[in-house]
Amino acid sequence: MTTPGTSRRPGLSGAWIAALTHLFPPRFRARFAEEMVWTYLDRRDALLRKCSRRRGARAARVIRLTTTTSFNLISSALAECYQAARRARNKSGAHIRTRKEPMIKTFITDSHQAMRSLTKQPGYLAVAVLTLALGIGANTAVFSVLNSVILSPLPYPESDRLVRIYNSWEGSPDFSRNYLSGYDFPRFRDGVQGFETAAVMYTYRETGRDLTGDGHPQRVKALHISSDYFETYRATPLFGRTFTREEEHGDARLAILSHRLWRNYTNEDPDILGKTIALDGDAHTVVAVMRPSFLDVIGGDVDLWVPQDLQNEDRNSRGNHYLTGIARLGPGVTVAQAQAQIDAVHNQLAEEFPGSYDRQYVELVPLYEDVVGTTSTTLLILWGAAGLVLLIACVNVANLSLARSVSRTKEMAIRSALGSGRSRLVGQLLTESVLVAAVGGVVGSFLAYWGVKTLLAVSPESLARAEEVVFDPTLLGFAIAATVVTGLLFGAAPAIHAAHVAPNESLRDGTRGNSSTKNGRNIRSVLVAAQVSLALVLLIGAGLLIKSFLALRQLDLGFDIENVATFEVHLPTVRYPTGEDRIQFHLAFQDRVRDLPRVESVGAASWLPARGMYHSWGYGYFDDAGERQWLPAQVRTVEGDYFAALGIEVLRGRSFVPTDDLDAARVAIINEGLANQIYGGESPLGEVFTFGSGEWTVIGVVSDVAHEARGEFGPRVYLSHSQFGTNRNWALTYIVKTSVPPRDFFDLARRELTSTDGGLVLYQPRTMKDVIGRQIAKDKFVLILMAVFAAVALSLAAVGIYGVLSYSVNQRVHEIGIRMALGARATQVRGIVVGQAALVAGFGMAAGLAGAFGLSRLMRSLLFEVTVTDPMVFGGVAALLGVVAVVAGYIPARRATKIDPIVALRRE
Amino acid sequence: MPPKSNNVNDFLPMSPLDFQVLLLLQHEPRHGYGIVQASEELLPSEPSLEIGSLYRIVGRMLDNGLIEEVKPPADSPRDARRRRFYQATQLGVAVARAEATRMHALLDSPQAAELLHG
Repeated sequence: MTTPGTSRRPGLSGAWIAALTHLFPPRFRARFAEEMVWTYLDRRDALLRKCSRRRGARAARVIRLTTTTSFNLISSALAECYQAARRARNKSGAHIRTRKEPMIKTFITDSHQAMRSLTKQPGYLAVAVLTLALGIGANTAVFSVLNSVILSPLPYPESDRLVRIYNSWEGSPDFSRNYLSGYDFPRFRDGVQGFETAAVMYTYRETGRDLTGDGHPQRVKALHISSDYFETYRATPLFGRTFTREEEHGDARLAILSHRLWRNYTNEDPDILGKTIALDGDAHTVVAVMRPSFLDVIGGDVDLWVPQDLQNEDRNSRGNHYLTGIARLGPGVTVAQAQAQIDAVHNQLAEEFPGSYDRQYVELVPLYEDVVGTTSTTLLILWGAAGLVLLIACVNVANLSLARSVSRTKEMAIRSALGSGRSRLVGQLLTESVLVAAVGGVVGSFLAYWGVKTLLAVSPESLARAEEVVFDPTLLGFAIAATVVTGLLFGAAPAIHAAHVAPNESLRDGTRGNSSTKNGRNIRSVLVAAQVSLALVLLIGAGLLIKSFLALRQLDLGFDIENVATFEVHLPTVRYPTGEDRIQFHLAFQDRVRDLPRVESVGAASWLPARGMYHSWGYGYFDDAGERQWLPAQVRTVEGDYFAALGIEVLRGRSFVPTDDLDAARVAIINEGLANQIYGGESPLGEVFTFGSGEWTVIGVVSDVAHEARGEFGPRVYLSHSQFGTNRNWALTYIVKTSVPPRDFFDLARRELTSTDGGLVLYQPRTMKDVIGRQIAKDKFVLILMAVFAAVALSLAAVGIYGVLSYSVNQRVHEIGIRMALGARATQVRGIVVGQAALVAGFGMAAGLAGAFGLSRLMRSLLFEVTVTDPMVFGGVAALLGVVAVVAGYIPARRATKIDPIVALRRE
Repeated sequence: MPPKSNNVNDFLPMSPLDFQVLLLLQHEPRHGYGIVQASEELLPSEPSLEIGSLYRIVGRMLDNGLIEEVKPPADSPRDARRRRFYQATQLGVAVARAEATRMHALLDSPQAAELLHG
């Protein structure tokens, strides 16, 4: 048995659980509350010890545990309270008749009263409902995403047994958590006893195949998988069988269809098993159809699965890392145990092949964390922001309610004089608040539903597990909880106020109940100051994100983005079986594209820059001591004027020329970063290195390009397709630099392609700007949400300031009248009012700035090249709020000057 | 508070969770998290025992005299000694035995054999 947790830091979650224990009856609490918290902390600490160190993943786990524990505590507390009440009643024996009505009847009466009162002031009702709807809607929307992405387990049986297998290189952040080699994987599969099953998939994105057959070729997404792939997920086919180990070779022409493909392409043919479909002209026998519910969280939206060749020795050499690995742990096996076992296998491999595994290690990561990890920070920040918006909304409505209740002081006083107990009054007001909140909650839920659907439709790739976001009963429960809490929150203010009304005083003084209204005004000012501070925090958050996003967009990635068109051409192996065929095709096609109007240069590459990691091999060289060293480097196979088309400078040596073909010596171009890292400042031209299974000579050095849209650079090797096209069937992405924005270019290109070979598809035509834009889609998504929240917050705060000042002017009509009668000029009167606005806003801003200083550090992981205390943002937002406050105060200020002193003096 | 009864049969049949907790307190004293852990080891495929439910059961069984609080065992780590340890009483052992016997009789029946062995 493991040692119980030694951590004494309860943290936020511990404090929350401790707070929940207050729901239990006092006696139970005295006995067990402390222990419950300790036990919870033990569980939490044990959980954290088991999981990885990434902060987002840890937060996700803690939230999951806290949520399930919270629900259990609440229901247990209710049950225990009920039990305690029953025991008390049984013990007392005789039933004491109370004069109290059953609570439900009181509630119904109060509700009727409340509805009558609310409908008499539809303005208040409308504003309150709308404000609350915005707040509750925002929270429900973010929570729905949070629920699907973080709180739900992955959609597989016992999904916490699933792990991802990574191969990593020490000391190289670019190459941590990388692909596995086809040589290592079978050794892991058989050598790790702790794996119940293990599988790999070939997830190079855009490995598209064309479903040829009758009519137009249709591009589908085919995923290459090893034999135990579905078994690892514990997904069974609708009918048919999965691949066997014997079928993991290059000639296995088999396919498993997704349910969607079976429905759309074969019209749900019941006899599909044993029939063939043509993939790139190649007949594949269908052996199974998957269920519609199967979802691949790594592979994504897959149309069909084909066997992965694990037997070809060239492909599956030790140096070729290209596979994505997953495994299911056996019963009772911990991640640590499996990690130890796989380390043992890895060490054995290192002994058998000295030098091949230096500085490498294997990492097992629980799949849940792998998929969700980075998103949880983002979601939590968004949820925090939504929470702030709700808080601001509550404050606004509280102010409104307070104003309303003050104007009903007389009514309350009469009721109280007629015998309503103070608690009844409070009860009535709270009922009213909850009702308003309920209507706001309903409207808000609709807003949330519509909002989430729209956002996800617009940018689905910005969130992990976006396809799993659904609206389910949990959300309804959340919305109701948010509504009730909101109602009680903003109802508290007027209720407390009402409880302090002294009936005699207010009946005697008419509407000018001095002490109570002054208190009222102070409370309202404080509330508005609070609103201003919260709005400031949100605005600063949004401001930081805006600056970060702009920096991202302007980032120099090392190549041209303007006027560059891209598209993919994939040559079906069945019609272009040899490397020579493919090389010839691409050379000819490039010439044709080059002849098109307004084309400046044409090139092609196996993968676009700044689109992430694609293909990495070990770059083998001899260091100064004569020792053999390996450095993982990204590989790109390029053709034509690739460098010219993207504006990448050739710094030393030359680019590829047509004579670098299959008959010539094997040559390569490396990037500046790699050259500096290995060869220092000296010229690497003429140096020979080992790559893949051959030796290459360096003939040129080019400037660096970024791996990702966030601008990380790393070592790169470029090979010429005319020499390397025989290695495999490379799907080349064409890069065409045009002299004007490439609007009509794609149609021209498509026509050229079809006239060269009618069976080919011009795949994914996109401008380079578009491609980069998609990379930063996630940042854009977060930014838009935050900006919306901030805008809502700002408007609410402005309305709040306006409201409190307007009210204040109304109350001080008498005083202002006197002043004006005594000769005060309009500007002075305006000054008083605006001055009050500035004071309230000033306090709010001070508090807000302090809060923002502290909170903005939470956003650090989302920001790009922006410090969390960026003075421009802080200063700009403060100035903006200042202006808004003054403007909001100006309108009532003007009204104040229009007061006719005589009328004012006559008013009581 | 006086226990509900001294008669073993008054406690049967037990609710499954109650029996599970009582079972885990038969031989060695455990504290709250120890019970949760032992429960996870016993039934790994079921969701964990939650603290709200657990302590309601503990409270109930304490009141009924089926378990009692005991001193922390001498070999427990220092921080664990601040927790409260529980163990089944003689009555608790007797009740657990009676319940196990009852379930055994059920599972020994031909109908159950058919369910289990098809």
